Amino acid sequence: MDLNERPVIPEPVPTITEPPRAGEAHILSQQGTPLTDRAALEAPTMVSVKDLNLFYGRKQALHGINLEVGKNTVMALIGPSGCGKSTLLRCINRMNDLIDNVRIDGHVRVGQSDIYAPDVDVIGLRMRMGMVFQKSNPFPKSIYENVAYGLRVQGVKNRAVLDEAVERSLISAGLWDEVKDRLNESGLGLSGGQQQRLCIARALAVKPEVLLMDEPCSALDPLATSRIEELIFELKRDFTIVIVTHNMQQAARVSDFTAFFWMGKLIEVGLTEKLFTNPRERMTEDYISGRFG
Amino acid sequence: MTRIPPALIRAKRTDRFMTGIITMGGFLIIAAVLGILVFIGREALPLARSGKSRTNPSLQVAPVAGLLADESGKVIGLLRPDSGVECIALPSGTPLATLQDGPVRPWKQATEPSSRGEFAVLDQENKLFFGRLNWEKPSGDPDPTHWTPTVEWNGGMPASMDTLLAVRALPPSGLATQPSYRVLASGKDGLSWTEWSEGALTWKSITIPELQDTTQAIWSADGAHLWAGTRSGNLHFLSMEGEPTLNSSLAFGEPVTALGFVLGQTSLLVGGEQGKLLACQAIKKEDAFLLQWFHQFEKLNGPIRGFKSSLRDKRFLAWSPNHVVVDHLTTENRIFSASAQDTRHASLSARGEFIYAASSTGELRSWSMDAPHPEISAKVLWGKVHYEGYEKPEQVWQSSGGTDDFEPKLSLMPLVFGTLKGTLFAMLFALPLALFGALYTSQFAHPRLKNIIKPAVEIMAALPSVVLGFLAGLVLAPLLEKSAIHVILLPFFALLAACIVAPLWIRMPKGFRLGWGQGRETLWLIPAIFIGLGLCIVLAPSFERIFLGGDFRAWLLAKHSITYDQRNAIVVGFAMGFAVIPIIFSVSEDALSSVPKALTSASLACGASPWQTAWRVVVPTASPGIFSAIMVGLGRAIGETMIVLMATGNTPLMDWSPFNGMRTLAANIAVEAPEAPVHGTLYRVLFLTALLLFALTFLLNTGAEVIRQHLRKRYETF
Ligand SMILES: Nc1ncnc2c1ncn2[C@@H]1O[C@H](COP(=O)(O)OP(=O)(O)OP(=O)(O)O)[C@@H](O)[C@H]1O
Ligand SMILES: [Mg+2]
Repeated sequence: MDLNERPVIPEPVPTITEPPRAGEAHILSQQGTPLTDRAALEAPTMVSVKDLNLFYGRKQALHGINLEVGKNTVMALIGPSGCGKSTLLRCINRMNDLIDNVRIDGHVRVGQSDIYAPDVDVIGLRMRMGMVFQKSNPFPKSIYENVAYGLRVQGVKNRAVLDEAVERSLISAGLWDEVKDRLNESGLGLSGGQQQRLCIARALAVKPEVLLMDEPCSALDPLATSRIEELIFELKRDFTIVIVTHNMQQAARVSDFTAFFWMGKLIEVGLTEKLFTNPRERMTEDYISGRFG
Repeated sequence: MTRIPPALIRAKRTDRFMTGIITMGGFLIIAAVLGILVFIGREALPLARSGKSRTNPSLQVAPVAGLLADESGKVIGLLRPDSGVECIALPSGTPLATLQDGPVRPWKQATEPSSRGEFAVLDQENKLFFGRLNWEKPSGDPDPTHWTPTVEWNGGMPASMDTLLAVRALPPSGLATQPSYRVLASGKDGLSWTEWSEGALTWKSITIPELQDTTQAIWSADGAHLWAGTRSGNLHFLSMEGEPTLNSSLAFGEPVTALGFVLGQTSLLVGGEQGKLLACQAIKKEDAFLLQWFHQFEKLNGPIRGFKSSLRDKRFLAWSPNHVVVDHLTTENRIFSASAQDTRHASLSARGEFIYAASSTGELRSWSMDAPHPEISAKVLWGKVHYEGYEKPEQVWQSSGGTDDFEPKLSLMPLVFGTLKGTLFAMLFALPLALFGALYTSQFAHPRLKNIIKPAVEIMAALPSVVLGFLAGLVLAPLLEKSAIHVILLPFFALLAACIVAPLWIRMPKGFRLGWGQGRETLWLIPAIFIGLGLCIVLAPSFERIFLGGDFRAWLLAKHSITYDQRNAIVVGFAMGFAVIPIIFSVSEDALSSVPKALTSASLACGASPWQTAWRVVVPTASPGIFSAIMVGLGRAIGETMIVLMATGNTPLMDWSPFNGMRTLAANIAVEAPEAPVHGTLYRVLFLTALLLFALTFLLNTGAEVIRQHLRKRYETF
């Protein structure tokens, strides 16, 4: 199949009708150009990052990040290696807590709650989020148990509920047809691409509000990549997705918004089509066109 | 053709060379291990060898009334009623001396000499003599022609009797220099007995109806009891202190034709007219005697005529007119068997190497026998065996005793049991501590804490086990004895205190709880343990007073008949557990820590709590490593020697009670090896235990490896 044939933006409406809400206002006013995706623009905010600074020990990895992700939209994070994309992603589900000597100031809100408030329940928070890692990491358990894991740790024991969730997640991860006869075999017996889709299914099983994906296709062949891109496309209907990628085409194909990072700073964020065709910053243009030094 | 660059040639050569060295090293190690195995096996193997015997050329001598081979088997004394005691050297048959002093020839009767050379003679003038044949050997001279035989005669008083049934020499008592003798004889008016020490004989008749048809009789070693076998096939046991009384009887089943003792003079051999051969013993229970048949042997061909015992072990000679056998009492094995026509008398040399049998025509047949370890059989080592003096078959390890005629009891089961028990108690103590400690350190502890805990625990492993054993045996054991009740109660009280502290913790303000950070809430258990300890100290004495009648040990003994040994399984569990913990801890901690971070992250990102992550993902993934850790620990516990040696009483008991000691295979080798004569039975049995230990660890390791491979395949990551 020809990947380029697929529409990147589902509803090309080339007009702007009303002033956008708080988050986008700042960006859009600077851009001053018409937005193309009305639905995306109108989406209520799901994740908002405000004045976020993050330090690994004495080294600052994120500098004053401000970013908003609308509900049921896809936000792509791009930028050169080491610019802090994964770090930011980990801030959203507090996976940075596991690293020593991390200091964070600023605010991250998911839905209505500030997730760095002192009384926040981290485990409960993570249950609301799914995360797909750069490298596939299925548990050394059966395919079934891999997918059911999130529900099991929540204490779900009802077999019917588990069966339903496993089937639904595997179907939406596009893996069901390949594994439906071998659910009890080890997840490690799958190919790399299948394993990655298994990890996606695992993340989907708990019906998370936000799906965080850190270079989910970095280790995959073009065919598997395209399947996962298709999948992201479908998932957008139900989930809010933040995806880190090094692949410009991928960012262009799957995301509604793109944020460009450089050295721990957010350089530019905007509608994907806009950012790729007409970037505001010189640095962004250089990076996108591969002239980045 | 392209030229191969010299660097490549060099690299290849080095490669081949190193491969060779490594392969050789590997093979050498395997060869060394196999070599050790073969050596141990070779030392132990003779235990399984059955006896070999060889027929020697026979000699022609005059007809005899009794035979007595010397300890060496190189000379033999022949009792000849018409010419006295004739001594000849063997195997040549060279006459050495004929002793003609003493009773007037030709003798009317002579008893078969005992293994110790004692016999009685009724001479031509109806005088009763007691003889004892001795060999004077100039020190260390192995040539029998230089030895002088002597017969020490006693008695010589007139006696009228028909048949001399039994004579027993009793060692001199009090001021006397001479032995005294007890004699049983039958005459016209039935059975009568006498004790002679000096002067004339005063016969006392025995009027017990059951003894009417007595055919054979024998005095017990101290002369206080008499065994009598009858034609009607019964065996009677009489008490001869004061008035003779019948103690108890056993049915034998056929007319008794021979009675004899095995070494130690407690096990009585009974032979019958059809060749039946049984052994019997009398066990003193309170005031009564319990008579029992406790060994049974293969039948002989023809009526059994006599027994001779070895002076070294429990083997004995028995013969019938056409069959000569040597059996071992405890194993019931027949070591030697030969058919010999017309056998009248026979003798066994003291070490059991030579067997002689004389026919009525004076043909002296001889055999040599090589059975170095007749007392060992699979049943002795592994099964229950009925030992002399025991009421029922048992598994006993007791390698040495106070007396010369002590029979070593070499059952390996108590040792295997002790090994397993020691290992079990050590594991009971060590496994939970080491595994949970490793889990905590690898998954929950703050990295800084981990950097302290891990080396500290590993330093524990550097403590020599002698020190541990010493501390356990001399410090811990007495302490534990004093406060056993506290130690038993502590876990319960600590748990109770923890149950009180935990809800309090939950009620603390959230901010305070978070302030303590992950993994540090455990510290709150420390006061809980101290509260438990305090409660224990305060309450244990009253607990002991109210429920256990004031003294825990007395209560144990009275209520459950469990004795409390100071050095017991609990002490060993602590001490050996202490030795095993560092190994299990550090191996399993490594395994747990090396679970890929990606898996824990994935689990946490799914919303699992750290505990769920540890339990559902980390532990299964690390299970091959944890399993090897347990196995390495088990191997160490099984082979551990010093600690058990010092911290247990080394009592080879078979009792699961935690208040008893034990003896393990390894400790047993350490205890016994210095005292085991080279190539003796004990020596070889010790090698067998070493082999067993080797096999046990080998099996354990192989099994562990198989399971580990299986687990690894199952939980392989990437
Ligand atoms: N655990 C850590 N401890 C210390 N520094 C870290 C840690 N993780 C990341 N960093 C630093 O933070 C910066 C941002 O890292 P991050 O992993 O977010 O980069 P990235 O944008 O995801 O790069 P890549 O595209 O290569 O994945 C880097 O300079 C990195 O060295
Ligand atoms: Mg990254």
